[in-house]
Amino acid sequence: MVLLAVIGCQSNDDGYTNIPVELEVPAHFPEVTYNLAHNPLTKNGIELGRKLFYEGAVSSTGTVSCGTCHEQKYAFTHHGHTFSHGVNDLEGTRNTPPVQNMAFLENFAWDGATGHLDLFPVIPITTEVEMDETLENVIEKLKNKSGYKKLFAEAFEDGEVNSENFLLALSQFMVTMISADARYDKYINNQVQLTELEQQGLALFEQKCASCHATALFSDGSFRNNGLQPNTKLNDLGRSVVTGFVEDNYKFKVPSLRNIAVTAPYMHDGRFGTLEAVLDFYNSGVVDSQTLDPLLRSGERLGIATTAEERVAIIAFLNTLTDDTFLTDKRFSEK
Amino acid sequence: MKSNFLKSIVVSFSLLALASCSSDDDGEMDNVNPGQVTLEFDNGFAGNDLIIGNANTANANGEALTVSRLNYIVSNIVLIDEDGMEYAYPKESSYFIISEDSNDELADNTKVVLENVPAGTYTAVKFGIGVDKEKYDQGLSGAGDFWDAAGEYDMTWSWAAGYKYINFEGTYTSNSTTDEQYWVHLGRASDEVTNYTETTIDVPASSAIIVNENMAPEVHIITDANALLTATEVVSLEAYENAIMGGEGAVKVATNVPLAFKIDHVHNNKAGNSSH
Repeated sequence: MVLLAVIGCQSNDDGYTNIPVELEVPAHFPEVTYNLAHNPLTKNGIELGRKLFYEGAVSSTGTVSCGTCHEQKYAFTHHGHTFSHGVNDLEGTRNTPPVQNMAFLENFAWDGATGHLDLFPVIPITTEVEMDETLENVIEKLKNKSGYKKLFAEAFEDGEVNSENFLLALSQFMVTMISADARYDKYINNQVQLTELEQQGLALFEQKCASCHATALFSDGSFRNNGLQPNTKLNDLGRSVVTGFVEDNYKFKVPSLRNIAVTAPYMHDGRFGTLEAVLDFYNSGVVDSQTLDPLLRSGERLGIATTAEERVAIIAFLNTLTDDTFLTDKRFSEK
Repeated sequence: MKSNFLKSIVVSFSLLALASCSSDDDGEMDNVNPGQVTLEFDNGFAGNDLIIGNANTANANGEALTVSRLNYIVSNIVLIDEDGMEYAYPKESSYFIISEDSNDELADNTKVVLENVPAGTYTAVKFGIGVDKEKYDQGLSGAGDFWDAAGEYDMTWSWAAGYKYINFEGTYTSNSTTDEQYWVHLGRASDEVTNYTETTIDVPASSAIIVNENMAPEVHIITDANALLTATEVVSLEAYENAIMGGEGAVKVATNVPLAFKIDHVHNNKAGNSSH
């Protein structure tokens, strides 16, 4: 379990109270990528970020908050939605990724549209089919909404209700959203034993999946074309939409597998409803193309060969990545 | 260039309170009798003035551009003196939006005023075009109103969230097309392809930027919009379907960017006077 330690206190006359919070990083996790020196965590900053995460005023209609599509019990994804609905019930073209372990990522969104967590919220806020709003309007609305002036004043030394502090508060909250207390983690920490089937699954996973779904995050953060047949109606080019390079066509970020059992549907376009379907795809559905990941090609054979038995074991292992502590942690809830 | 005095809005990053303000002074100049230096960015086109909305003669690709907007971010300004010593303007105050835009609601920004520059005789200016990786990695911390101002000048992206370093738009006419819209937006593609560039430009021979408490020199820099597409990599708008916003096209434009700037002349004005 991740604990946030309170290590000191400092105030000024405007209500600013600096109660520093130290992020406790699980020992088996990689290095934190988010630069905490530039945006030091504070109790009030995190709390403001939580409130903003569940604030509908970030959308043009006042009804869609971050939490609308990022629901805690589904590891902050939009369960059951292939694509998520934004304002005016408009639909996007990609499946909502989870918000978890953001402090450790290099790139954000399926196509890595941004390399900085602070800038990430700009994307959903301004996207027409999501919140369809401008940052300037959001700040104006927050200025006129009761309570926020005080909350910003308490959270930041300059006390300004502005885009900098708005985005810094959201980052502070998201940085604290660490999922590291699944059965798998307890196994790593020698607190529980995995069943025989789960152990078989773990061994198969390490052999067949872990080169991309690497580290305790279960993703190496890279962009790869995993051989999905493109949906011609969407023709989503993925990473190359951002970089403009054809060699990035159809590449998407390798997703983390933490809490994977509760984040159906799967893939960037949410085309698979079950983990069985995902493993079936890797076994027999991979389609060749110029940018297909080399790891999915061995001679003539494409994909990752598995037997039906092996797939059962791998899924049993994947189920150990569900972190109920994270899924019910009150610190991340709307309350 | 507009002959009337241009309203200059200089937006800079504000400093967050730093826990420790000590810095290594080795190699830095003592700040005795500091003065003010103004950099004026005067947009041109192949040796002529750049007039927003007027057609220019065809470039090396046979494309005749009518520019409606040339906005760019100038950053990390360094003045280099005759002995090669460098004075770096404080980084947190060293991000500026230069703008000439057909949108009348946006004030043109063509001047960057540097305050408290150490006295000296400077012979070159170095600066970045865009937002460097170090600043990008700081995210929004210390950004103050810069993100909002950049947004106002259409210098931010939402679909690839970050700053546009250059926003160069208009129409062009060639043998095959007439009054076609074009968009050249330069920005970060990835950590590997940042497209951020720096340039060092010398003052003309036998001239210098003389800084002390009695002087307020003005450095007249010409930005050649034509060079953005032709300086060394000849970039055809048509070849990129009129929109260069990333990929190979952006990399080529980024190669040209440092070559688009030169110092035309320096006015060593007395403090309190301005030659224009």
